[in-house]
Amino acid sequence: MRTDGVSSLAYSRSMRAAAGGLQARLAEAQLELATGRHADLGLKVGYRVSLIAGWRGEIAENEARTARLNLASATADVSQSALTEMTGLVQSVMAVLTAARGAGGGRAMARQSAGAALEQLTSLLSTTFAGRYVFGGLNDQEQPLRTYPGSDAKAAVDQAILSGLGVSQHDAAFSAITADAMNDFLQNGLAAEFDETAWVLNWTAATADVPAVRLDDMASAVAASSAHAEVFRKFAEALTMVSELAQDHVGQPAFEAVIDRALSLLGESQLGLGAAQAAIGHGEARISGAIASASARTRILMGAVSAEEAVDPYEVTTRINMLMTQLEASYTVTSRLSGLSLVRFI
Amino acid sequence: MATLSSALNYAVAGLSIASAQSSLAARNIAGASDPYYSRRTAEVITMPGGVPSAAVLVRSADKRLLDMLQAATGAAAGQHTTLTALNELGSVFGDPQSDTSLTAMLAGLQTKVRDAESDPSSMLLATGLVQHASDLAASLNAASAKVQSIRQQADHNIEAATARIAALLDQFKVANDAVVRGSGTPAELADSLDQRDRILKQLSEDIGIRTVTRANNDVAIYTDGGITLFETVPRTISFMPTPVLTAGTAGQQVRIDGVVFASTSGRLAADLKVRDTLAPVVQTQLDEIARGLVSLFAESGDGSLEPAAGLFVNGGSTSVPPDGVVEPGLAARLRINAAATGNPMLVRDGGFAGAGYVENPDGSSVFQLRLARLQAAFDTGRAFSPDAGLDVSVSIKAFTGQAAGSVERSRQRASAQAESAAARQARADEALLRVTGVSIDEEMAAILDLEKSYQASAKVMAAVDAMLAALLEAVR
Repeated sequence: MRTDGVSSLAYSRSMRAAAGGLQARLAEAQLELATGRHADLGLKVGYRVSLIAGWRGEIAENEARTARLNLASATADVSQSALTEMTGLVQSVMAVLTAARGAGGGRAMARQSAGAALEQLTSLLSTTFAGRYVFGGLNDQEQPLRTYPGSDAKAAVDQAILSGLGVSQHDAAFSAITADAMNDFLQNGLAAEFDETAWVLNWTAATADVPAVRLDDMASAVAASSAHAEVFRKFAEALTMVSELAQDHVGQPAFEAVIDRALSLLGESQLGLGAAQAAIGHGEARISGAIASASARTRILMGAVSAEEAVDPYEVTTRINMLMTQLEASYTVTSRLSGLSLVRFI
Repeated sequence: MATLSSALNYAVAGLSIASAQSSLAARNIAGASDPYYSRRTAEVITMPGGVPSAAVLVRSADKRLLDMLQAATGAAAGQHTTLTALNELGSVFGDPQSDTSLTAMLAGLQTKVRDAESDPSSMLLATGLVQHASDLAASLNAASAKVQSIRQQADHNIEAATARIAALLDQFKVANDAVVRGSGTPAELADSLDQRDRILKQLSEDIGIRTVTRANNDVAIYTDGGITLFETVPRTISFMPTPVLTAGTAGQQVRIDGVVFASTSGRLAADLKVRDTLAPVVQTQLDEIARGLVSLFAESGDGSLEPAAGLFVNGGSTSVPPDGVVEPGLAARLRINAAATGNPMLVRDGGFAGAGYVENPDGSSVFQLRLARLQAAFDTGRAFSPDAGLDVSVSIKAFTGQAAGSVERSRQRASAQAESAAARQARADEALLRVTGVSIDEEMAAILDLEKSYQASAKVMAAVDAMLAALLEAVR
């Protein structure tokens, strides 16, 4: 009967178990050093894995959002530059018309300038970026303003002139149109061809609404103009009336009436273009703000994720050194103890 | 009267005692590395008449320590089984850093919807959205299959464990009968006792047991819930394995002696818990996530029509399961609507369920309203069943995160418990070995002593022989 003893089996078992445990912890520490994260995150943080998963999802979304917002910002820049060109166009046409009003050969000059400007307006409104028509509103796959020569719009305008003034603009009798008759026609007959219904029917495929740009979970911004807008209607009306009605044989009073009306419409267009540019600029400012706040939020979230997941490399290195020392010591002791047997001395 | 012949008798007795003790020492050394061997010692007692008689064989044992070891072994084996299963269940959700974890894929789907919202006319983005949704459905299918395979494995383990227990009980009967009859040499008796203890130790890994020693060293075994496992004869333990376990089908129960088995320690109890509680909860969580997806993408036209399944469908059905009610196996049946690959723009416009469900009034290619609603719906609260063990009114993203978090928390707790149970088992094992184990050095030292005493007895015999010879010499 013995009161204090150790069985040989218990000896060898405990030495083996200790060495095995140290080796497992050493392998884990190596993994942590290599990846900089906890070897087994779920074991370490438990339920907080749900928070980490949410943060990582948000970080991925912020990256995608920044890319989307950059694209939207570039699209808005393209719209802005087109609108600036249109403003220049308005100014140059206004200068030509003012000069042509009193001059003798002014009619041809005015007519050609207006025709060319209408072509340029059509082409500017058909600006594309990244495969979409930027002035198309919600219909970004169809040309926003139909090309004027040979279109339904031209036919409608010709028909309106014929019914409103009684005679086609190319007819010699056109010269007999008085200023009052012309004014009346311009205010009513021709204006009807450029109201919203006729605009949508004959001229434009663009929608009244423009696409929204998502800034964050709640808010959207608008940073585009549509060819549907009133400012472009007035612009087109002014250019059309000059290019159709400023014929060589039209009377001077009628000619002046046309020019005056065109100049007033062009003035309104200029104001309208300025307003459109301001609106887009406001949208662009909001987009830049959203990009900045997305990157700030990403920084905060990355910090939170690191706080949970990251391991201190110094602590890990120290732990590895300690484990290796312990392992070496346990190997040494094991070999010495296994030599401690009475059998060797008998 | 002390005579020469009695001296001879004592010397002979001394020789036989020394030989018996050396044979025991040799036996002990042979069994030194056998974990189920108990040290034997020989006690020398003096018989009436003064002649020391050898060896009453004493087998060292301690019932209390053995009971503690059984309890610790059952707990450690059970915790280890639970931890292994929880590790596998945790892998169903994946590492949060990985892009293929369920939480990342769900958040990625919301991002894809927002990408499509920013450029609704882009076929590239729409196709990408449908593809990502298809990947998410496939992930949920795979996750559900994994959970059911874990259940199936647990069922197999239960079948193997019941077979093992039945075999061990049969072996126990043989050993117990030998002990109770008491026939055979003391050495054979000690071997049968070793056998019995070995069976008890192995049995305690599979099922938590309590033993009661009765008259004639008869041992009866009961489970720690009180069901009789062995009393003179082994009781029947029966279990019917289920060939294919699916979500919603429960496995068969284990019956011992006709009574349904329930316990908290041992591998059998742990596997039953994995099959019937731990894995089904995770399956319910996956099914609820799948149901949330079907409901999120459901269409109702202008709001007045009956909701019908949109991008995500429940197998072949076009109906939307009601909120807050679990549909077992939905995660395995979740698919992408067949119309989506041919016409990805149906996600933007609506219309999976028919022309009446189209929400894009004029076919505009930049229709954003439905996509805007979809991307917001990922963060809006919806009703989930309380059977999933998580919040009942929470957004689908938060619900998925909570599911991942709750498995990790269970794993964390199980790991700590398994570690401490393993440590307790090691301590109990060491304590028992301290009493019953063999120390080779001690046995070697004993043999040295025995050698000396054998030589001394032999010397005595030689001396007595010389004295007798002298006497006979004198008589001649």
